[in-house]
Amino acid sequence: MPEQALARRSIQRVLTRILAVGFLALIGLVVSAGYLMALNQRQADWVQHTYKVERQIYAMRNAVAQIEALTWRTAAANAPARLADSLSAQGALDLAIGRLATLTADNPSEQARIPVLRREARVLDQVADASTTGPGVHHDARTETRATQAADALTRMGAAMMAEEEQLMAQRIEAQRSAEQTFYVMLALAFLLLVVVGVLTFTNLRGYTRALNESREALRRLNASLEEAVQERTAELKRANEEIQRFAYIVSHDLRSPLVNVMGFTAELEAATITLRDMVATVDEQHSELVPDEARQVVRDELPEAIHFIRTSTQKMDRLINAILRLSREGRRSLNPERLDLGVLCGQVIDTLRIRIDEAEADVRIEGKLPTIVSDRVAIEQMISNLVENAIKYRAPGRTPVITISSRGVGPRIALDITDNGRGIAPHDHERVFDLFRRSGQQDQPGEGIGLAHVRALSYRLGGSVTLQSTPGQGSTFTINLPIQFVGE
Amino acid sequence: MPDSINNQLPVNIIMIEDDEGHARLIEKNIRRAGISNVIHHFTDGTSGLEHIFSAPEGPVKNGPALILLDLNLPDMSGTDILAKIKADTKLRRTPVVILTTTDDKYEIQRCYDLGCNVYITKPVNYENFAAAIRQLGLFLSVMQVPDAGGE
Repeated sequence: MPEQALARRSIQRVLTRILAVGFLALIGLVVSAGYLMALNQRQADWVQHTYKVERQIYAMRNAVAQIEALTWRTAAANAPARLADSLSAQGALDLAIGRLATLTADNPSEQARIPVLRREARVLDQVADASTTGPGVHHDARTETRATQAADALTRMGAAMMAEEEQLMAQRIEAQRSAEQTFYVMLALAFLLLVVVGVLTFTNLRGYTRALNESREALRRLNASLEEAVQERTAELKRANEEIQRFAYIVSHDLRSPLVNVMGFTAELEAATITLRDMVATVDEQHSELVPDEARQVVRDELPEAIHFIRTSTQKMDRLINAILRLSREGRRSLNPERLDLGVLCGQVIDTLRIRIDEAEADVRIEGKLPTIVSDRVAIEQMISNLVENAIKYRAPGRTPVITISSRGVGPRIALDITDNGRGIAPHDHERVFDLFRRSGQQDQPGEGIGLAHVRALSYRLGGSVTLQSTPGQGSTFTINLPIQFVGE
Repeated sequence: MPDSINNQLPVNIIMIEDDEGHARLIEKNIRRAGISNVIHHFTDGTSGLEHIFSAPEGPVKNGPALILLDLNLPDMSGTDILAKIKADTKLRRTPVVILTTTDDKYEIQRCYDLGCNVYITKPVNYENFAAAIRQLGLFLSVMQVPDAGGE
């Protein structure tokens, strides 16, 4: 149905769109989750970086403290410090500052501090160098103050750097928090979107299912009404058929009544004609001059001839009326379905036709096993009997009639073939022979042309059909097609 | 007239037959069979019933009768007339012969059920028709028509 196809297409489009939106939301969610994870990773890296920076600052302060301690010790002990201690402290300081320079390469404000750090460190280096030579020459108050200043500067600067790193870290944590918040908002939005998609999908599908159910219901109703219509039509046909049967019955009856008169008075007329003829003959013998030639001819020839034609015509009419009457009576007969072994039934039919079969020296045989069906016995018997009788009646001259009865199964139906090698029926008569009062070929056999009409009417009543295949001069096959189970008219 | 009914009242034949031709053929053949009883002919059911029940020379008022009845009448069905005759106490022993074209076995059955004495189908073949009427004549000649009074 086009409407339904349209509805199906539109629901498919709507569903596709809704699902696409849902998928997009999911993809967005996955991407932002990935992004957040990358952000987290970077944050962790930054935290580690900050710790590294802090560690180097501590290391630097440590080195500064060591150098200071060396100086103090040298002054207090008044003896030079060990060279190794001095070198190790200087190396540690240099290393720490170098590492700080590398670690803060991305940070211009920290980088600006590095040269200052190096300068102060050089001051401390000198102090440390001096301490290895021992107190005295270079070790004076000015130098000491300078060293203290340098150490203070380094410590201060380390603290400043630390503060800056901490501030940076705080900024980064803040940034991450806001990213996380964004993510949660996105998550919530996506969730909402998915819920909406779900609801939409559900309502759409439900609507679609309902529409589907409705259309199925409509279809069912349509089917039911169709069945009703068929039943109604069948009842109408049945009524019409009954009407025709009844009509045929009444007409044939009412035609009979005048025919009784026609035949009766024709007979009276014949009797009167005989009286008249005898009288004319008597007069003719005695006074032939009293009888005109015309009167003689009328009485002798014309009246008997006219009466003869009236008689044969009325007899023919009587036969036709009887045929119609028989057909209509057959049509009104109620059918009694019963189990019939067609093999047995055909055998019985052949037995009843035995005299005619023997007369024609015909060979009638049943080929193979015939099935058992449920149908009306009398009707089937009549159909087979009629067809076999026809096959004998219209045999080909100079040929032994061979008639075979065989069957084929066609699903829930059977086809019964009655094949002969008779004179056959010309193709243009294949339909005509089934009409009432119609006959085919040379009219050299008695009959009214009702046998096949009867067979066809019976086959229709039994829910079947009868068809014909024939080659003139070679033979015919009449096929009765019947349901295996007759279910009533 | 056969001896057997000589000492009784003459039997009137009442024929209810709408077809004049049939009536004439029936009468001819009855006469040919040697039956000379009076034949009262009616072409419709109403006047036939009127005669049977009310006429002074009718079977109810006067003497025994034999009724020949056609089933297809213009004004009523012959079976209705048969039913009326067989329902009347004075008439129910009056022999009724159905002579009609109908050879439907249900119709025949119904007529016998209603009490018809003989059912003859009018054959179209005139020889058979004449023979049937002659047999009816034979039947008439041996028949003892009971007194209309019944007792």
